[in-house]
Amino acid sequence: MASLALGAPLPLSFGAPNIEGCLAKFVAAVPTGPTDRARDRELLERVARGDVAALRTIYEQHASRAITIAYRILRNREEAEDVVQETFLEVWRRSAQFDPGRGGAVAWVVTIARSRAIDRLRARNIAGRTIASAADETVGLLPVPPPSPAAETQRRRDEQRVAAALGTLPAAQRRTIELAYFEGLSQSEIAVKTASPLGTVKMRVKLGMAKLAELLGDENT
Amino acid sequence: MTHRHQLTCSQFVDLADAFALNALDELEEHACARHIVRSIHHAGCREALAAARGVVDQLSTALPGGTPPAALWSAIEARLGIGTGSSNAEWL
Repeated sequence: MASLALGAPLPLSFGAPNIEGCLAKFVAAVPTGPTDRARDRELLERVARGDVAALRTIYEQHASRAITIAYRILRNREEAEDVVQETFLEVWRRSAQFDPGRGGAVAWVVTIARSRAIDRLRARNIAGRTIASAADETVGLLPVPPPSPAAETQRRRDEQRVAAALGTLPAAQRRTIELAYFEGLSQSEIAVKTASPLGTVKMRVKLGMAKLAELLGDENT
Repeated sequence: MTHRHQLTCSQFVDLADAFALNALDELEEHACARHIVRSIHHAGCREALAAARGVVDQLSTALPGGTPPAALWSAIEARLGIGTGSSNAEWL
């Protein structure tokens, strides 16, 4: 791990976006509840009008998950922080493109952060080192301050629902999905890491995703 | 798959889950991105991608929260080159 120093000067690089990739990444997402979606839309409409306070509200609500996924993928605190910066710059620039019918702000923000983190991981071409170290490394972010009771209740409900769905998968399928989503590994990298044929990994992804869609589907409608 | 490989809708649907997970290799990912953005007519592509993205987005809700450092928001403001109440028009 390169650094866990907090509050250090942050790098100001801003990688050029892959336009096609960016466009495709926002084709669809999942709706949250109607109230959440209405609130998200209102906030992002304010951001589109240049309201920095609205952007800060979104940051305060979702930056914790953004930095968690970025850190899990990159395993480097400074880079994770830089990804979060890039994420909220992108939210600022693209807020007018947010479609609440496609999903909530949390999914949008996390999707951006995860995509940027994966872009960095693959760009720096250290996938092999990451694969080797990922299995045994304990990921440690700072202790989380107590959230509001309502937010914590909802977060735990979401976490339990997804964990329960993942728990129904055969172990190999579950591990494959987790390596792809939470570690940012490609199918080829997962094949190497798990010493499985690539075709087997692809099939595990398809079967696992199909089962999760079935189990989590009610939340998608 | 070559860099300019054109996917059929059937091929895209087959790759949609891995595409939504960002788990494809670079050439396949670019081919999928080109297909979904540039092709006018689709046979189940958008539906397959929406379903896969739905699952991926559900996974995002299960993430535990870490704590961003206090200076991170200030760094974002600095990179935006603005202060509270300013406009984002310069980025559009």
